[in-house]
Amino acid sequence: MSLTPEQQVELRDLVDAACEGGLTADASSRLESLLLSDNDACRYYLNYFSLHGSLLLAEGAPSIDREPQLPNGNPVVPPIVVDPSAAASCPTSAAWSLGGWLTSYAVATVIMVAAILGGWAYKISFESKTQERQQVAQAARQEPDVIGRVTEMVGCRWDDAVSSPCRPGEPISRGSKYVLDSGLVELAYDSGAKVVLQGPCVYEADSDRGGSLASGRLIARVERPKSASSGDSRLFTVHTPTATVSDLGTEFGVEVDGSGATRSCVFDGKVEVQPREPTPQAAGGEEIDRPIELIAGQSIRVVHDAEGGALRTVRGQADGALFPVRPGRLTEFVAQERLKAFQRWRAYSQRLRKDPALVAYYTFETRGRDPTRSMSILPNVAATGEALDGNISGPRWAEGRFPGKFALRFWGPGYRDCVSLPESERFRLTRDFSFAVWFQSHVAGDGCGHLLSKGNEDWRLCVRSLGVQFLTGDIDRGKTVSDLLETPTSFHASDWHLIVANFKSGERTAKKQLYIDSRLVGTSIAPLLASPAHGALVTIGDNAVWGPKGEFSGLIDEVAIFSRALTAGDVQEMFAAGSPPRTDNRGSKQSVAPPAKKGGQASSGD
Amino acid sequence: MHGPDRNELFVQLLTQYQQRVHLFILSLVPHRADADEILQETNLVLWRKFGEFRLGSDFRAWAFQVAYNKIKAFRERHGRDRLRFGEEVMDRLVLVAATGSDDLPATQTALQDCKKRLSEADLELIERRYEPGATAATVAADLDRSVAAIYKAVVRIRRALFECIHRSLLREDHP
Repeated sequence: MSLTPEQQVELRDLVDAACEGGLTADASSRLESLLLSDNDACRYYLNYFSLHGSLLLAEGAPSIDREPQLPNGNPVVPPIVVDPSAAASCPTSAAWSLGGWLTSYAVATVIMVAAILGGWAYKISFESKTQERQQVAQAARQEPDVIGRVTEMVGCRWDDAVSSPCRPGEPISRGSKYVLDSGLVELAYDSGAKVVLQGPCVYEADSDRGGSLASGRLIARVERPKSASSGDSRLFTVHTPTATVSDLGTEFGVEVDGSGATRSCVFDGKVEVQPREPTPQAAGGEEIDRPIELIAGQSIRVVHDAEGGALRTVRGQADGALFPVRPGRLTEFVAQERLKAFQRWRAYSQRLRKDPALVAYYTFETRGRDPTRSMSILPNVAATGEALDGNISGPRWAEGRFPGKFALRFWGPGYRDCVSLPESERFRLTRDFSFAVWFQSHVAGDGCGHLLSKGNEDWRLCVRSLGVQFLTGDIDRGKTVSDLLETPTSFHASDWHLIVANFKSGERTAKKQLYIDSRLVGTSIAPLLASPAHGALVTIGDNAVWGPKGEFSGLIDEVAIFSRALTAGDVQEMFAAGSPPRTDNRGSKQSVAPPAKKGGQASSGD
Repeated sequence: MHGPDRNELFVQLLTQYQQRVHLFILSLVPHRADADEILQETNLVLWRKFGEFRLGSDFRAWAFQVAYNKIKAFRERHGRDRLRFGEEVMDRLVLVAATGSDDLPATQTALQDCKKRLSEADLELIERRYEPGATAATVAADLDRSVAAIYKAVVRIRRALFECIHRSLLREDHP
């Protein structure tokens, strides 16, 4: 959620007030403003109201204690059967005129429908209250051994071989292990401690009051409960290969480097650091084996004298730069990162619109920003472009790369979801051109989902489950003017990717390039393109010639078409400006294999 | 697809999505009776217009859009004060609802499990609160307690259920 923690608390209170019918006009207005500011807030609202509604429907059954009626007082059921407009609007209405079993079947169906229209068709099958209450005590004993939960994360990449990826809200059990390649994860213990893990790190939550840090960094904040007794001083303990760091109600960071050396920094309150073995006293050399107490601003390192040698301690000052995100602030940090990324992209996008070589540019921003525009129009925002707005047929609006930005969801084979662009001379590209598309691919099977294409004889850019193809010329008909550049790449369904396809003509041949996420992954030499034939339409998400196997499945949220080939620098700038911050919930091992090239050969295309 | 097959499909889809549509309407319309009325009107339109429904596309999203149109028509008849939000917010909620994940069956199962984990007192209180026509005030009067105390307790229990459901769904995703 991009709301601040305070706004989240406010949102929860307002949603509860709405459930209880206690929203004042001001509170209602405030709730509206929070919902408009963040789609996650909308999701929270809808999910919470789904619970509220489920409780309401379960306990009350339908509230209608009268015959279901239309607002005009007429019963609902009869008009459905006899309403001529209903029959006329249905292309299958001929079935109603058939006799015999077909009519009986239709009548039976209508009776069922009538029942549905009365609001009685669905049932929520709850067990009786008596049975439930008898099971309460037993069920309570079956609570899992949960000691907290993951509350926030950003930019996480996990070592999939060792630890399961997780996501915000997931419970932490005793023994939960987090092997983080990069990124930040916040854990909230039920005991009150909050811990931010900084990747790369290896951490195991081994009790409800601590864990083991094998390598990397963490920062923890532990509030001393008012009820804690004086003898209950160690509130949270971090075990490392060389020390045990015990918190006494404070904020502190722990770092374990590659040699196993432990650095502990205290930012607030105090901690105890107990080396795993007795260490020589810093000044005198006499061994000590008691805990060393640190206060705010202090740090200590517990290191081996030499490889395998005795431990010794080195005191210093706490270095806040090692721990940039404090516990409890990660949500705010994530929200700021997302907002910054969105602003960065918008600034870049505004500049890009003025590029004189930009033929058409679709930012997928309009939905929600300008409710007066039709939802079926995809506006072209290129400053130089004529009115090359796209016509949306099928795909549905969905959330895009950034909060507040939208995308179109294409459902894949069989759906014929498509955005068609108008016929224009500006799309008749033959010399130098380039396409850039931001997308999430859900393409499966053996099809090639078209991101962008112009007929079947000009150019096409499509995604396979394990590859990308950039085709120019009449591939399917096997004419000499044809070329296929293919690169094996796997895309995870929840990752946004930028693909850039370049075509740059020389005197006798052209050079084609494919970039994925700013990396050049494929190059080929291709025949020059002849003048485009037929004036075929440019389409996004589908290709009319290929049929279902050519329909894209996934999300597209930005498309740019240039009448020049982009440089590597252009691509890098576009990727850097448009990459959303990673706040995902899974391990992501992107595999972009070395390029494979199939140049100048005819292919069936599929 | 023709005749009976299509009718059967309609019944199947309407049955499958009826509760979702009802919950969606309840999220935008504060009064239960109004929501029920809008649900009936929505069902009628879904039936009449089912011939225009493109098979294979998203019935849930279509049903939400029809319901939303009926909510707006309801507002025309009865005024803004019978609804919870203005159109801009409702636009946003419709979009989020129609494009969000659809895990109602799992949510309902989790709700049953989570209710079993409530203490007997909490279970009884939340059931009283959700009896037909009940409010925090009526429950407070029945139990001879303050409205504020009941309100606070209901919020606490409902949030606990919400958290419990959320965790259950996460466990299901990551067994």
